[in-house]
Amino acid sequence: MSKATQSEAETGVTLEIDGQEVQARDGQTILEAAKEADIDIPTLCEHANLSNVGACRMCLVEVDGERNETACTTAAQDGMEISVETDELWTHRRTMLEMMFADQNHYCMYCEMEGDCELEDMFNRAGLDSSRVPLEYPDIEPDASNEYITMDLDRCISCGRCVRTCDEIVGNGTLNFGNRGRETTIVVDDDVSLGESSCVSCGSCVQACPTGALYSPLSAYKGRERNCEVETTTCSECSVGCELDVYTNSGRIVKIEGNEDGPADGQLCEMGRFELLADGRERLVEPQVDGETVSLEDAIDRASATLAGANGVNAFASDRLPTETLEAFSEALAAYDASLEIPGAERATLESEVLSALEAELDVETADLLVDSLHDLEDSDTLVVYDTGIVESHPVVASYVRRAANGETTLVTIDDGEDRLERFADHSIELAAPAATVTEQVTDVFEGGTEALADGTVEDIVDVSLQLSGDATFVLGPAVEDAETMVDIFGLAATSDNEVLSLGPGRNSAVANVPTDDLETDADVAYLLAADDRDDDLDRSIELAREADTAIVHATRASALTEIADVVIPALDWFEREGTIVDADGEDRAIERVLDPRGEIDSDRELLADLQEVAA
Amino acid sequence: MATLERVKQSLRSGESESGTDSDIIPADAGVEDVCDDEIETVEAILTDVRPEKRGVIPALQQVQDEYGYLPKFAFELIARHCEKSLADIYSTASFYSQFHLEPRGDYSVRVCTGTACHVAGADEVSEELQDELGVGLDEVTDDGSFTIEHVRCVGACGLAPVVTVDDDVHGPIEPDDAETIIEEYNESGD
Repeated sequence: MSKATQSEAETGVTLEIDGQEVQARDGQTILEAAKEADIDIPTLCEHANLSNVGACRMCLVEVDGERNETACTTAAQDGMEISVETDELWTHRRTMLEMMFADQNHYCMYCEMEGDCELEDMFNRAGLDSSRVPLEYPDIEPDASNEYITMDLDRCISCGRCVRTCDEIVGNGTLNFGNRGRETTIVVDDDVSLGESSCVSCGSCVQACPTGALYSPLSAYKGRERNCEVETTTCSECSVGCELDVYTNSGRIVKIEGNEDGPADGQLCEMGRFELLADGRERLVEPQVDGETVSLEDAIDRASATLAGANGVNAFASDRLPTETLEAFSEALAAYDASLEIPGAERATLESEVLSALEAELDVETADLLVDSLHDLEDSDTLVVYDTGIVESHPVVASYVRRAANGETTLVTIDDGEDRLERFADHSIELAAPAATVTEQVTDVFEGGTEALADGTVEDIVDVSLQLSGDATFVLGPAVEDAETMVDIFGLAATSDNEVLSLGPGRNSAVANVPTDDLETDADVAYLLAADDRDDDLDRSIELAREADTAIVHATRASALTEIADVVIPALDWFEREGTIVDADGEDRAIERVLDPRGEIDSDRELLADLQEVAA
Repeated sequence: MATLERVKQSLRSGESESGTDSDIIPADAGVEDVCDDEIETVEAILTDVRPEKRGVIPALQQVQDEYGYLPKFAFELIARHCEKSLADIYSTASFYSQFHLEPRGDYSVRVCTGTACHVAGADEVSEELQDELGVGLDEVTDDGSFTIEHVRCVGACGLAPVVTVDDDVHGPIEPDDAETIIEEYNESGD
């Protein structure tokens, strides 16, 4: 897609930028052409993956010696002669910068972003150390109403990167400009605080902000970004598998950003960007038996003896773990004849059963039934979302759904509770009947036309059916658990030649391949590999620990679970693990070690192997 | 003080489910805070408005015609109707000076502060009007009758200093005329 607002560039144009000959492709802007030729045109309001608006005027260039244009919105044309570094242009840029500086309260030395700030950099590059324009000293209250995002418009230059991010990337449209004119500010919804707004706390705006106007208190004053080490890894908070750029200094994590070259355009959600950083529970580093600190060997011996002497063992593992660890867990516990449970495994197994049954019955390839990439959602004519709980369980997918719905795509939402996407939906169907009934009716109408209408079929269902002849995608949230609904949805997708994006509750989709079974009702020992599970995720482990006489807990941090454990073995934290995770598209993604482990445990896998060895 | 009175009014209207004597809906009342009648009123207005981006300004204008200003709950209804975000609607409403985000009086008293009026003593006229009504600029009088605002040149420099009340033009006037002008509308309103 061309970002140029002027006449389209011709195919393969040649232009000259500051005397250097540059090749540009059809539709590229002068700025894009310059970037590819490693020519640095100054910018502030331009940002990766966003549309260009020419707001900051930093990229003003002289075209053919006769007029000035913003390079980010002007198409490169054959024979153009562009000047970037002229005295006259820098005079313009300096004047703009001085006004930006005077308009708000930019006191760099007190600012979290000092040293990483693009405005400060531009000031230095322009050779400015003060402003000729008298300072305005506006009276602005910082908005700290959101736990993870602070908005301090003292540092705002109204570049609109946050506004465009919230609109174009997240699709939520929470931010906009208010009181446009001399008093322009960023407003949240209809001028409320971030904390009480429609904000989903994904923090994409924080990542986009060039100054300190939007920052996270979790990362503030922990050191400059440019002095940090960066490791790229995969998020294991849901099955989307977003790429995390983890910034560290002095052996600690400073902040997490989305990889802008990655598949999700730099998006992350509240879980991946903030909650991973906000875990303040005490870290477990020493093994314990009956509340006493022991050596790792003793803890493993005790665990092994307990497991070996048990009448029955129930074992549970967190679905946040890498595939290799889950496999090691499965093998180690099989050595003790344990019954295994991993969240999401049931749904994943059911799904593969449904798919292979359909494959045989309807002569379709499973691969053709499943969505290849999240970007396909935006290309669909119609999206049918079953379970809008994806807004919380798979927030980045929800962004793609919103983006599509804000565009040309028709959005149908089907939910038996609150519709979390109602504002974006063209048809919002509240389920009075089970999902299977609705789907069945849609199928009937799709196949048999409106004559096939059963009594009580709602108008929306007819509309949905009519949409399916185009390019439709079904999105299945984690609440869809019964076989009938699954057969109906996958079946409907197969017969209407459409695709499904299945978002189960399992974070690592490899849970489908780890053998699990129903837990025993009278097991006297529980082995709980809870790792860094927190909040509600711990509920199941705690339940199993209570049911058993002896609970062996393999966890990262102190919690209500470790308090009732008889044996506690430390586990790695998310940033210490290595391995792979399978995302919702079925792709293997790498989990990289970001920081060296704090405790003596170097690998959960080796520890599980030890446990298995002792059994043998 | 008018501001305090408005706060009290908003509290009173919050207490009662069937509405109160006051016509003024507090500016910050959301959809869940107002009674169904008000929602129906706005929805009735919106039925004639295009359900798309182009409908935003006509929707804002017609809602303002009804209420004299733009109550917050209407933003939510307009956003839903025109399929735009709440922030988009607020952005548009806060840009145009024709839109008011705070309740207004029945009569808009506009004091011209263009060059000719300024030189001829518009500031003194304005102060006298504010004293007479007991409100500051852009505030509503306790009885909900008047709002005073400053405007730029109204194009009647020959009559400077000029004050307009709705569509009536008064000028040239002295600060002492303030009482007479206000009385004229108080009486016609009774």
